[in-house]
Amino acid sequence: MPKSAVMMAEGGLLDSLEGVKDEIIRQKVLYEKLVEEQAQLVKTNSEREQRTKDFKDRFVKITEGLEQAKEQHLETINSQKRKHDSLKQEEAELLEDLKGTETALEEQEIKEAEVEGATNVNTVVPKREVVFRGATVATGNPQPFDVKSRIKYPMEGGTALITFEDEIVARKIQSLQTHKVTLEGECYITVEAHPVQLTVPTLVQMDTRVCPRSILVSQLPDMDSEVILDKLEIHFGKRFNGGGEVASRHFQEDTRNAVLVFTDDKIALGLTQKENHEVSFPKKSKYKVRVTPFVNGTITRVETEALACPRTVLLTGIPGVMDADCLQDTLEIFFQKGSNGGGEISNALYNPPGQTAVALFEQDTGI
Amino acid sequence: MNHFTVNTTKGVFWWNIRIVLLAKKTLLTRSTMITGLHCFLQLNAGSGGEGGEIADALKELETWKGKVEEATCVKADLALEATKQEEAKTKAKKDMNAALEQQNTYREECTKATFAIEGDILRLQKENKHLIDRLSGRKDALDLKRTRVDQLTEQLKFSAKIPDIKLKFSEVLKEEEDSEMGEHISGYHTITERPTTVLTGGQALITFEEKKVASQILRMAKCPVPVEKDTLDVIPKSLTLGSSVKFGIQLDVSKKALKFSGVRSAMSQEAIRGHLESSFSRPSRGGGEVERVEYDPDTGTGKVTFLNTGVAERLALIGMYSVDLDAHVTIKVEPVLQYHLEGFQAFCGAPERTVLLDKIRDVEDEEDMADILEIFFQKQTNSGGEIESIKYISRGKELLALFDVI
Repeated sequence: MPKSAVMMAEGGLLDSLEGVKDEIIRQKVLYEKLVEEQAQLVKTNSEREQRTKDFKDRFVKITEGLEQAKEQHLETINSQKRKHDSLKQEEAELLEDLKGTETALEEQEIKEAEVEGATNVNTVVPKREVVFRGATVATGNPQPFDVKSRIKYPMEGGTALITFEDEIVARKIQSLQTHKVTLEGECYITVEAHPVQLTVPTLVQMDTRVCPRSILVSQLPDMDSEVILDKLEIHFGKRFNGGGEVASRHFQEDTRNAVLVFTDDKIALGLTQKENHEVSFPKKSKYKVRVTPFVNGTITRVETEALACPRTVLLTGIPGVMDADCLQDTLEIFFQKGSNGGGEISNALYNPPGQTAVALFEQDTGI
Repeated sequence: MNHFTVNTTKGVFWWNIRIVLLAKKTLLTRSTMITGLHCFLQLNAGSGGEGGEIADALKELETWKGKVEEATCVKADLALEATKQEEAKTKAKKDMNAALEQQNTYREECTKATFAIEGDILRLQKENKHLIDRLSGRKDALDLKRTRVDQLTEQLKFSAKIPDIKLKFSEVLKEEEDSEMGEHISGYHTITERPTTVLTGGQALITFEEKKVASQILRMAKCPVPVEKDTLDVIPKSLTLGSSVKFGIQLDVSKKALKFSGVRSAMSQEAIRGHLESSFSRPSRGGGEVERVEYDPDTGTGKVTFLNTGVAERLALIGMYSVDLDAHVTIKVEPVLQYHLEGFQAFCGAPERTVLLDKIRDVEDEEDMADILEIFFQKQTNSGGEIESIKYISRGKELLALFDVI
């Protein structure tokens, strides 16, 4: 029975002073122990609390760090992506550039072949007879050009042209601008003397190129040009002979060479590479002709100057007072006389008013 | 301290029962009851000797018992606190570890992602560098090719500088069927490039009258030319000339039209045209009846066509004309030119009658040597023939020989 347990304990307690005192001591000890235990608990609790705080702090730190890391990483990745994209773009541009360059290169190669063919042609041109007659110049000069000019000069009505033998006479006549030409007796007409200025070329710049559809045929037989052209067209019109449809043809009177133009641009090359062809002509079957590329030129620039004729004078304001032939004679007689300032005349022409005449001007080799 | 003795055990027993029952009834603790009893006994007890000591002790005991109880409570509270804290700590630790794990996982992912994209970037950089190198190479090739094409194209161009000539009226032309004839001064100029060859010292060029003589000489390996008391072995060589061109240029000058330039005015296009027309028709200034005036306001240039011939040529010679625009001004006038190419030919000069003589040692002076050569090559016994022309140049000199096109 619990009561007896209590009674026993109490008995001890309340029975004697010593018992009580023992109990006090026992309680004291218990108390001390409890206080110690309390202190211990407080300490461990405090430590634990600190540990927990540490964990929480670290948690916060880690979480914050993670947020920061995420931000940074995002930034890094974005910047890397931008770099990647820009490299991709660079790649695309480079590829396009490369493609463009290759295309340009191809174009240039075609041009090169064309131009090379043309420059090589300079050694594959028809021959023309030339002769050395003693003329020389200093080396270092480019090949000089010769010119032969023919100018058709329509004359105004009431004008005349006179070519004097002597340049000095012509100049004198020109300087005395007006001349009183006596007709019969006291009658005279006043004429004006002028120089004749003609425009001539001084510089011609040209580009040359091989015509891809044409051939030049040289070393032709001596016969009518139309016959030659017909026979050539027949021969080179046949596929069998390496030819094709002839678009046009013409004969160079100067060189006695013929030019054939085909419709197709693939024919000329083969024919010129073969160079020698046997063509049938009347009474000359299997006549060997030479086929070379046809080089043509295009003028890119012309410079001209007005050239005064040294020996020819233009007279104007001549009225039609008498018959044309008579007037011409009168003028010639007048201007032949030294007393009138004139001199020997090579050529003269009078064009009466209302009429047209064309005067020919040519090179003056007489000086 | 007062105390009393309870004589019997039974009495003690019954006091304790009462305390316990009372404690239960009042919900007070035993120790509190004892403390209460103690106070009660103190109040009711008289002073006794032994009874007082025990009472004091009991009182102390109560105090201590109270203290113990309190301390026990406090300890219990602390223990409870501890349990709660332990829970919290475990959770906090768990959270922290979870976060750590998350961090690690994330770091791994980042590394992977960064590695991948950096790999791509490196690869692209490398490939792009290759492309750049290749592009550079192809561009160089293109430049080279362009230069070559330009060079070759240049070779195909030429500039013909035409020498000065003198012209004279030579004859009258028979009437030609050309309605436009009176409108232009038409010139046809045949331009020929003269083939050349370089003559160096110790060489001579000799042109025979007959082709067959030239061929004969060329067939000989050497020609023994007697000079003084010696014999000079002169070597005949055939000539290879480069290509030349020949073309015709038709150059027409208008007898009715005139080009003008330098017109500047604030007036309207129509007004300008009107003023120009009236200015050009004034005979006092050398003008004539105007057929029409063409004017380009952007360039200030134009063309005036007169009704009759003669005016244009006269004015072209002067080069200037005064017109009334905003004020009285002088404008430039020029002839109206038209040109076109006719009959272009490229050829190679074949000097059939001309022979090159080489290895002529300098024995005599130039003129004497030329004479010696001429005498030798004239003789039929030497396989020679009539000579048209001969040119010899001595050592140390150099000339460009010019050929004529037949």
